[in-house]
Parts: sequence; structure tokens; C-alpha cells
Amino acid sequence: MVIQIKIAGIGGQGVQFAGKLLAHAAFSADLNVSQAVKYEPSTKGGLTVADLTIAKDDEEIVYPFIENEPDILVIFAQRAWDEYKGIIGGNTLVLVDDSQVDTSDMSHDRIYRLPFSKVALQIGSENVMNVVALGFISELLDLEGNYITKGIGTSNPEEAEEHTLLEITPELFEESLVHDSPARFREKNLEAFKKGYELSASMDIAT
Amino acid sequence: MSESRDDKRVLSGKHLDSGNVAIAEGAIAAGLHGYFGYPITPSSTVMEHIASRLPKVGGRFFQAEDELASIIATIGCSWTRKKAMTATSGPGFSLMQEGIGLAAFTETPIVLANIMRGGPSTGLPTFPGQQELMQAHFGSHGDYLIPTFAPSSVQECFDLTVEAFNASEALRTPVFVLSDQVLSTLKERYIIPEKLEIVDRAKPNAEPIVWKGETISPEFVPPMNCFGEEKKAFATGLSHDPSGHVDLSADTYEKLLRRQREKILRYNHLLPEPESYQVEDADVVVVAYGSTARSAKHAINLLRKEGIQAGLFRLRTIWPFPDEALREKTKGKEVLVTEMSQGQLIWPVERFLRREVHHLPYYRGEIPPPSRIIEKVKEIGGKGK
Repeated sequence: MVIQIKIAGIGGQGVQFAGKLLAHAAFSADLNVSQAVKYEPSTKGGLTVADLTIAKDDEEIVYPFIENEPDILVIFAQRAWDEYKGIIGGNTLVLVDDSQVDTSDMSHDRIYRLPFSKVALQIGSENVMNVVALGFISELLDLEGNYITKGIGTSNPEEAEEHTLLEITPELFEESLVHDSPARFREKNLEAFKKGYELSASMDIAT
Repeated sequence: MSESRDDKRVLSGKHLDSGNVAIAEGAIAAGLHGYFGYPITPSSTVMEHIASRLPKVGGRFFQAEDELASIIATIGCSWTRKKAMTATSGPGFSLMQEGIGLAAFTETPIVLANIMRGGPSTGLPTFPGQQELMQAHFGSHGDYLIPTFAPSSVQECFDLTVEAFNASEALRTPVFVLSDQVLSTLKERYIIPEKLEIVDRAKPNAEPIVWKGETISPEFVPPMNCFGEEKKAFATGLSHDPSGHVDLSADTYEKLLRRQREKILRYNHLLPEPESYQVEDADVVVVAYGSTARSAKHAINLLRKEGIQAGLFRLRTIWPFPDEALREKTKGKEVLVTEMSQGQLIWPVERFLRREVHHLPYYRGEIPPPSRIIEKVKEIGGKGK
């Protein structure tokens, strides 16, 4: 079992942050995981890509990038679409933000145009669009979706330590959403994750 | 991280982190005391992690005004018998070259991690390159040989940094860790073991030290007489006798230069060995290092599925070059060198094999994709069954 997920967008959209949380979730679930990163020097506006490979605990991840046919391709920006539409394979599930990406130049029956940034705006900030998408993907993968949700719900690392069932180490927790996002985004991120999760649960998408 | 974990030098256990964090943790686990650096992409996260971690375990962190000061301060710290390191990338590595020569000639144990990006000049700050292989050997003026290790995974970023510190202490030499931008940001699982062999440099008038079960001869590696200790210490960039005093005579200079090279070659077998993967029955052996070797290994796995017999010879120590192992593993086989450069690794490969080999130079700010390597191996004539 190897799942390959490519998330691509532009600097500032939280591509790497979404990748990081996903990688940590897989790590906590005792899966082998890698996150390979590609980005342009500009912090805002440059192309940025996170290639996530999730494998069984004892399965080696040799080449950490995704050259072709990812299982899931997540696109946040038009530039990213133009760059990566060519690698879509027959089974690739494509998730694009419907208000930022025009996909009309290509037909593929597994393109899902999703309201990631619209949902984020309803929550109150376009900045949490990445977490909406993350919630969506987590539901698809069933990667202990609850793990992240519960992590978000507890803002005190010491309390998190007691979630032994979840095996969240304080160190991991600190790097989790709550601590990596500014305080003013904590609630929004939690809501964004739930909304994304629910959106995915309400749809019939086979991975 | 909570305080309870943060104040330990060796964070034994399983982690998910980047190659640069693993280099930083490897250094701290190996006993790093002083870090001196100047930020530059893609090496900055080594410094960033050390800045937050090292002071908590009793070490010192110092951001210098530039790379010239960083390397010299690193050398100075080591002369107080404390383990010292710096990290940099491309342009910073160039700026450090004069100090590197000084470290080599004064036989100062330091570790320098160079996280390679695309060059020359400012080049591609956020994209990988492998264009400093020759600079690691010949970058500073004069003859010298600095052990150079190249990790290929986050695990090896940790392991080879520990090895680098041990080698630098045991052999009293600077050691380079030659990583690249891909590994610097790549997040993977890695394990910090419960127990690590940690080596501390020999003291004057004390028992010789043992490294990997081998006694290190004081004749080849003279014990370091550090500043602030009983005996007066001398260190100079001029030619010098074994006590460190200036001596420009032909005999002294020749002896000094010869011994400095021979001490590395004598203990060469203790340095990280190359990895040979599926080479026994291979028609084509791909020679690579660093993150590029990951792509090559993937290509080989895919080629094998098609019945094409390809293998990988992956360098973990670049300098001194593992020439004997390379000759043995590639005897009677086609050789393909692939690297993120117009041609650096191919030089020692052809020089040591004494024959022409195939080459896939790839310099597009990413590791050569497996498909390109597969194509090239087929072109060379990797035979299918």
C-alpha cells in the first residue's frame, strides 16, 4: 500500500502546512511517510508543492517525489494546475479549489471542483482554506481523522499528553495545528477542519 | 517540545523531521558545544534548530556577521577542546574556503555541513544541486584531504553527522557533510538510537584513543594541545613542526603534508562505506550519491520489474574516494554516473576506473526523475531477459 498525494499552490496558501499536518497524522498512525518539498524563493506568490507518500510501517519509501499519476492531486492555484495537469493519471483523484482554478482545458472524470476557499471565507478567513482541504483529505483517507480534530480541540500540550490512546507526544502536539497557527486562527482552523471533513463525508467519492 | 525532552542531548526514539533538523540533532547527540554560522538557504534550518536546542543542553550558539567569521570562530572554539560546527550553502561555502584550508593545515576537528543548491553564484537558492563535490576536495588553495560524507536520507543526515564528529575527533581533521536542498526540506521518519559511540580527541600524554575498535596511532594523529591547558599551545597556518612551531624547511613541510594525507588514508576503512544495491548480476551499474541516489534506486526497482538488470553503487564517503570498492563492484559492467551537475562525480569515477563511462548530467533544479534514468539505462543497453 502506497498512497501518493501531491498538494500544489502558491506561497502563502499553506500548502506545506497542510502537508506537514498530514504527514504527522500518518506518523502518529505508525505509517511510514515522507513529505518532499519544492518551492520557489518568493515567500508569497511562488509555486510551492508538497509531495506526500504514505506507506505501511515496514515499507521503504525510495523516491520521495511524485513524478506521475498521484493518487490524489490537490490544486489551490491556477499556476499549479497549469504545471501539474499533465501528470494526472486515469485513477488520479483531482481536488481543486473551484474559485481559484479553471480546469475547463482538460476533461477527466475524477476532477472534483470543491469550495475550499468559499468555506474558508464563510468561517471568516480565506487563510484557513488549506485546513478545509486537509479535513477533506483526512476523511477520504480515514487517516485517524479524529486524531487531528482532537488535537485541535485541546490547546494545552500537557492535556494532550494524556490522550494516550491517540499517542500524541507533546513534541508532536506542539507542532500540530494548535501551536503552529497563531492564536487567533485556532478556532477557525478547528472549524475549517471539521467543515472540510463534513464536506467530504457528504459526498460519495471512492479513493 | 516540553522541557523534559528538550534538555537531553540524545533524543532517542522515532521522529518525523527534515534532513536539516536531523543534521542538527546528530551534531547535538555527538557532543556539539559551539555552533557559529550565518544563515543562507537551504542551510538555515540547521542553524535555526541548533539555536533553539543547543543552549538548553549547555552549548553555545553564535550568529556571526558573515561566513568568514563563522568558520574562523568554529576553528577557534575547537582549539579549546570543544566540539564545533558550522553549516552553509553554495555562496557561503565559497566564502569559507580560506578558513577551511586553515582548519585542514592546523588539523582542527570541526564539522561543516554544506547543503548544496544550484549554482554558480546565487544560482538557485531553493532548488538542489550537486556542484560542490570538487570544491569539497580542491576549494581551498594547497594540498589537503578532508573526509566528506554524503547522506541520502533523513536517517543518514543524522547518522553521518554523528560519524562526521567522530571522524573529526579521532583523526583530528575537519569533516564535511555534503547534503542537498532536497534532503534539507524532506521530512521522513528517522530513529535516534539509545546508544551511540561518541569519540573525543586524544589528549597529550594520555592513552591513545580507540575508534570503532581500532587504536588511533599518535604518530599519524598527534594529540592536540589545546589553548587553556597545561602546556602552551601553538597553531599556525604556516608550515610547522609537530609541536605547532613555524618551520619552513623542506623536510618538515614534506613530512607534514604527507602525514596529513596519510592519516586519512590509513583509517579510510573506518569511514562510511558505499552501498551496493543489486550490483552482483547487473549489466549496468548506476553511480550516484545524495538525494539523486534515491531516484536512481527507484529507477532500478522499476527496471528490474521489466527484467532489466541494473544496480546502484551509492557513495556515502565521497572523499577519500572509495576507488577499490568501485572497481570491484563495476568490473566488466557498464557504468552510468548521474548527478545534479554538468560533470563532477564523473571525474573521479573515470579517473579511478581508468575508462570512459556513461553520463547523465541533470541540472534543472531537481533530482533527475526516475524516468530519465530508466531511459538512459535502456539506451546504454541494459538487457532484458
